[in-house]
Amino acid sequence: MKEKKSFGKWLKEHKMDIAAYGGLVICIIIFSIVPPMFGESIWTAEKLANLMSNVIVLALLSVGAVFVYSLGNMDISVGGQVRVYALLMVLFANMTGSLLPGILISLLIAVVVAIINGAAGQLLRIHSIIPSLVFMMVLGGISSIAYNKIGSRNISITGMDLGFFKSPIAMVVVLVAEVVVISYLFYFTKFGKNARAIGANPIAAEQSGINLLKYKVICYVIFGITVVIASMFKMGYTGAASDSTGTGFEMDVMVALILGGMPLSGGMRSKVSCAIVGSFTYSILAIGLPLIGVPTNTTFFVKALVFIAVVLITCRKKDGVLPR
Amino acid sequence: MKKNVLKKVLALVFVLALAVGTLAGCEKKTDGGSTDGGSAANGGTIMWLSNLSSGPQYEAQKAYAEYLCDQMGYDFKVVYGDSQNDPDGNLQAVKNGMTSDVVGLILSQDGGVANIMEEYPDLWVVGHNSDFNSIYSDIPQVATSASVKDNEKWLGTLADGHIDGNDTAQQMFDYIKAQGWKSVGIVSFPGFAYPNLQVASAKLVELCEAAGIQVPGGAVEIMFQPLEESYFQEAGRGDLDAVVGLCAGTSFVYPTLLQAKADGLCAEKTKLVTSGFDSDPSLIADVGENGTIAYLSISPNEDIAYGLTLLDLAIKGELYDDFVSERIDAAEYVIDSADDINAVMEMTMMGTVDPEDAQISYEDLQAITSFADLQALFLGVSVDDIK
Amino acid sequence: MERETIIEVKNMHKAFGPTIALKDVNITFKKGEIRGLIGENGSGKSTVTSIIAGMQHATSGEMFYKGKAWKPHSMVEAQKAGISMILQEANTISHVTVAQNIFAGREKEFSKCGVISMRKMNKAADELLQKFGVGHIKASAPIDIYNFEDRKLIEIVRCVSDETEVLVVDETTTALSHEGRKILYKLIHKLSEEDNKCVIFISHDMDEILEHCDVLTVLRDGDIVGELSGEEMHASDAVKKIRYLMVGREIGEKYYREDYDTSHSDEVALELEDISIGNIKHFNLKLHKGEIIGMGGLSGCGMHEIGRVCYGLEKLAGGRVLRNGVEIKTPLQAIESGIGYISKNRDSEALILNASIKENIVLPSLTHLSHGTFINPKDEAKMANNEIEKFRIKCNNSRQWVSTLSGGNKQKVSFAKWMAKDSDVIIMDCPTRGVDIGVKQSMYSLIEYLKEQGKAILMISEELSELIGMADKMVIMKDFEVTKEFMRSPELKQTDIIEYMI
Repeated sequence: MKEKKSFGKWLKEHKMDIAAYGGLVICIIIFSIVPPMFGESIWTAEKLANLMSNVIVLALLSVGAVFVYSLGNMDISVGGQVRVYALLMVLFANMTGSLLPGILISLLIAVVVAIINGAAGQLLRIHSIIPSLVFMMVLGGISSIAYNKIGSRNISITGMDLGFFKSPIAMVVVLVAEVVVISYLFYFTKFGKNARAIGANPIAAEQSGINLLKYKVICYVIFGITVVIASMFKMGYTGAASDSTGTGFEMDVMVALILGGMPLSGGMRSKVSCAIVGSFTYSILAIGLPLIGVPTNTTFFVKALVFIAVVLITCRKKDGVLPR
Repeated sequence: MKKNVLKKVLALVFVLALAVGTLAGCEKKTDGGSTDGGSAANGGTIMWLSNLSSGPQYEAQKAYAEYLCDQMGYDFKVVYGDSQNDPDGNLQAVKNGMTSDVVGLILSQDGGVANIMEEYPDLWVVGHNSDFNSIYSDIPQVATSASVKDNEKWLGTLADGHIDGNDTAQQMFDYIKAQGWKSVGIVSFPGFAYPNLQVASAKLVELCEAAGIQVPGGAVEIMFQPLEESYFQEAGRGDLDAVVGLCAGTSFVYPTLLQAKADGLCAEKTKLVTSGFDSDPSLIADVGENGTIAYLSISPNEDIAYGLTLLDLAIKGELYDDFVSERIDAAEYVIDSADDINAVMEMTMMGTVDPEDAQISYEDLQAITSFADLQALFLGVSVDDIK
Repeated sequence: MERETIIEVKNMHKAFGPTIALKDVNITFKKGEIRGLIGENGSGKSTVTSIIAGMQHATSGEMFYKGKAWKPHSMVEAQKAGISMILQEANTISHVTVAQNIFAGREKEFSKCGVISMRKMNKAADELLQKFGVGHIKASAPIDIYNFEDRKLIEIVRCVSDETEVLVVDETTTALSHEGRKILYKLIHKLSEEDNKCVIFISHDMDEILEHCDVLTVLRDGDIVGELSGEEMHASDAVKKIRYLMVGREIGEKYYREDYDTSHSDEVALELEDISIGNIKHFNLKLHKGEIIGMGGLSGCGMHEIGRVCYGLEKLAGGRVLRNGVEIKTPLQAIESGIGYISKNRDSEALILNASIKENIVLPSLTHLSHGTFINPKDEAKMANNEIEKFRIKCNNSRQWVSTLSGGNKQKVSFAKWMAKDSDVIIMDCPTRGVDIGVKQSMYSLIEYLKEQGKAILMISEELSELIGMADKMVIMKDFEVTKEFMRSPELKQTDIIEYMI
């Protein structure tokens, strides 16, 4: 009797995790059992490599985004940033024959964008989404003008070996490295602890001696760096950038985090694992559904249903906020 | 509290039921598809990266391709290209749709073709309804997939009408001149997206001016958004004989034109010369000598047979002796009368979606023995043949 | 005279999961009485009344109201039937007028053909406000311009109508100043004595209970442990007896400090130099090591602002806050120089409710715990467990969320933050607000211990008795000015001080 009770309690406490992990586990089980009926399998080297290439950019972005979302903030300039960084990397690579200058300049811009994004919300007392909305538009405008000038909708790197960015092994290694670094920062340093405290209660955080401005900016900078890393893989896979690179990434990141059980209000329930679980769930649906014969236009629908299911399970009506 | 739990459980059950329903429904659909196919489906699957996902042209092409594949012994499936023709988006669409039985690809979008062929080096690939500027363009930054030209798995492409914009311009100009029009407007998509359309619009302006036909304000570009009504308020445009839409004019110019007429901004006589297709009955009724749309050119759905035939032959190792991988022009249905549009609506798949009405049958294709004949077949399509 | 029974509760039982909040409670409320309910946090006093008022449902048991079986489904239903409840938490609707708040849900009374006459509603509301003696609140004004206390009064006006038969006042007075309390006291006496209604009065403040209640019920751990008649309540040992009933053991004589030694180090720990902010002009204060300074006054007198100023939370119009000769401008500087601050708004400012005990305790000490950038979770757990043990915080483990703790234990956590940080100057604003006797006692002995350790303490409180009981020096404020300073003395009485406050 007692054991049952404590199990019930455990279940209640970990409801969010179970829903999020459960979604992934169910997806994996379904896509392990059903495709063989159609003579397909996700457990082939090719499909797994495909899964990695599908998930890598989203996962790199979402893992970094955990820092910003744990503040209870949102950043919707991600897509625009990826588009511009990819463009810069291609342009500079063709100019100099090396990827490095493009990456460095992207990093520089990312840090500037992050500082403004993080500071504006705090200094001007506006919702965090507003500065990022401005950047979304500004960066979109910049890339649009640039492609107009270039006279093409996409450009690509010529004469450079980008095999590294296509290797599933490299992807796994870089993703694991990023997860390790971000997890360390998030769980074992002041940065992550303060970020979560700010998300949970900014007033109490400030009264406990946390400099809100400083730590918000730091969180955005950490995210900005991961955006540049993700842009490298986005650009590197095809060696090309286009005027639609990164379209919709801001929403994909949000969807992935919510699928992973991340509370949009931030705070102590934020976890790095949300990003991983969410982006893998999202990607496994993307590659798994066609394998079991779901037509492409129906996959959106199924994805939406899975999303609704996760949100319904994880929402806490009492607190009045959807996925918290 | 209890109520809440119940609600959640109900919601969950509902969602699961829906999800299972959808999946089951889809499975049934695919099952149905293959039983319809009867004998077929041993040769593998041919996958089409479509630039459309709805509309009469899409439906007709899909139905026709399914019919042909059935005859040839393949399954056919569709994935949708990136709406912006983004290389990575197209690649991702192909990758996500890829199953082990796919043997050939038809691409209607050229973004990332090199990446796709690099990812799947064993697949035969053919272009359809696109001029594949990313392969064939002379401008280096446009020709991002130029390497494909030397890839033996690349079977060339059948363009959407003329490859050379000058030819398009000439075709339009001949018609304008024949009508005796004195003043026309020209609207096109921007050059960075469709370089050949820009060539066409520049050439058309040149031809018109040389022949004494006015183009008030010159050619205008629209950024994939409907033409603004203010277009007609510019000097000289209130009294145009026609607007030439070097773009999907049925969607981007036609509605604006109607509205401008209703608002008295533009003369009643102003006609539309454009391309594109829509089965909306009121639009169909407005095509022809007495309608607003005086001239409409559309690519026949049968064009997809070009790619399918080449893929089929390549897969079987039976390519024509005179085959060369290249891009070729395609003939278009040119509709400039009520008779024409009626013929298209009643006697082609574009209107009926019935493979019985296909202008080119499987047997027709079987009968062809050389690449030259195949090209000639697609260059020879005309509205007059339907009637 | 035998009073008529209005509510009868029989064998009421309430469980929240495995926690039993009420076990087999039987209680009878009568017309014309002011019934006090007292007990430590979690004793079940609020649970009983909230079940009567329809906020939640009993697990088992019966209730009778006016002789009929009573099972309300909502607070609205209860209010319509004549049972109203004033809650501890703020319960007004923001962004609308005072009148709209008062008549929320009753707009129909003022509507004609579907159009609500704001003029009529405002007029009626003004009349009501006058009647309750809170005429300084204007019905047509937006509610947001009024402070917490005024909003509480507006809530009272809303709850009490002609139909009210039973009024539940649940720890409302903690939010009220002297003036507000007077209004409330007057109201409940009028209701019980003139209108023969029943008032159920819940409070932690023993003085107020003893003064205003006719009969007192004491609860402990979901059980009724005693009932005191009016006579018993006024016996000389009443307080001791009630405390004994509440805690269930002899808590000893020792409660406040017993010594009258006001000596302290000459070293100044914190100095406020010519501070001007808002209505406060040229305020000066010197807090020494080993000294407890108590600040008293009504809630709007400016003393809470002084607390915030000490911690660098306010932007000063003039003057400086000095600690060891260094000016304090931000909370971060304050913390680094060894100042701790316990806000009076415990749940919204002092603590992160949706975080674990551990996370709250270690938060100000993170810099201290870092080795390079690394913070060892073991160090965190050690620090938290230390404090949990020292303060005897009732919890399962340090990972339990603060939001699940009782008020007293929450307050212990907010103290523990600064003990863990080993702060030398501690500013406590209303340190025992909403805390029961057992916890209060341990807080007081902690404060005494801190003094012995040479810590400097600024204790801001609206409870005069605790200032008298604890402070070396009392600074009394009124209308943003210091009106009087008292030194610790056994002769000091509340009445001596009150005249300088009002």
